[in-house]
Order: sequence, then structure tokens, then C-alpha cells
Amino acid sequence: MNNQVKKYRMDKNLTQTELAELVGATRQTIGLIESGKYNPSLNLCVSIAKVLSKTLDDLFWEDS
Amino acid sequence: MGFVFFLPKDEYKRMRILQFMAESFLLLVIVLLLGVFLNRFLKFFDDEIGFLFLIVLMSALGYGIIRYIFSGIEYVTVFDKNDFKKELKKISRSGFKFAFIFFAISSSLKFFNVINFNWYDIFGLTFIVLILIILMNYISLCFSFKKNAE
Repeated sequence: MNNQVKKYRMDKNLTQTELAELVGATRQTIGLIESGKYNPSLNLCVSIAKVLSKTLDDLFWEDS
Repeated sequence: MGFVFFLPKDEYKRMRILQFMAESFLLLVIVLLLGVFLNRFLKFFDDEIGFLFLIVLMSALGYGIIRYIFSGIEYVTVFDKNDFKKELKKISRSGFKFAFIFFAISSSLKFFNVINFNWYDIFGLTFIVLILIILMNYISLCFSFKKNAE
């Protein structure tokens, strides 16, 4: 599933490792989320949204 | 939470490790079944080792089945008393069907001299199987109803 996590993470000048630590995941998981190879749980989506100060729509909504 | 306290906090890692555990459990069941089969029909091992295979197999399967029964996740559409009664009737019917099939298979095995049981054993075992099947499904139904009502 495509998403905007990488774009907004870089806007906040965070590395994957830093974002991972802030949301309680590993760098690998963040990488897999950003490349669309893993669909995170709602809890993790919300944690990422809070850290990046974005809504779930901003991060994960797919335009048809 | 059972034995999951040793799993990692990262959800992706946790999911993959649980997948590997499920695969290894399936492999264990296959190997044990093979061991029981080899021991029963080809006398590949001593009787004690064959018995041990059976004990380990029953323990592994039994634990999973018991956890499943008490988890309340089997009957996901039972929300009120009508659903409960409908499902209870289905459980009784399927319990009797299963017992009938069990009896038919046991009788066939006895007829072809594959097993050495006498008719009292077959009837008794069929009755125990019937009670167990209905009881297990009834307990699972009660736990599912309680979980859905919450």
C-alpha cells in the first residue's frame, strides 16, 4: 500500500531509526511501511501520525 | 497472554515469529504422525518410543484445541439467545453425525480385523466421543456468546 510516511518523515528531518524509536518499532519495520511492503496496525498508524503531526488521511489515504 | 511475553515488541517481527512458530508446529505434528504411523504399522521403533510420540502429539494438539475452545472466537455470529439456541441445535446434530461416522469407521476396522476391540469397546468409545464433541462445542459456544455480549 502506497503512503506518504517517507515524505513527511523527511520533512521533519527524522531518520528511519529515530522515527522507529519514537513509535516503538524497528528501523526495518519503518522501511517496510515506507516501501509499501507491510501494512501496519491501526495503533502503529496512529503513533506514526502523532509523531509526524499528520492525520491518517494525510499519511495513508490513496487517491483513486 | 499465555507464553507471548517473550515475543518482540515490534509488530512486524512479532507477526513473522508467530508465523514461524505456526509452521514449526505443523512440521512437528507431521513428524509425530509419521512416527506414530511407522511405529504402529511397521514396528520401526520400540513401543515406548511410539507411545511417547503419541503423548507429545496429543499434548501439542490438545493445548491448541483447549486454548481455542476457551478463547470464545469460534462462534462469531452468536449474539443473542435465538442465535445461541440455533447454534446449540446445530452442535447436537453435528455431534451425532460425527459419532455415527466414528462408529461406522470403527466397525469397519473391526470387521476387517485392523483393530482388536470388542463391540462393548466400540460402543463405549463412540458414546464418549459423542459426549466430548458436544461438550467441547457447547463450552466454546458459551464462551463465544459471553465474548460477543461484552
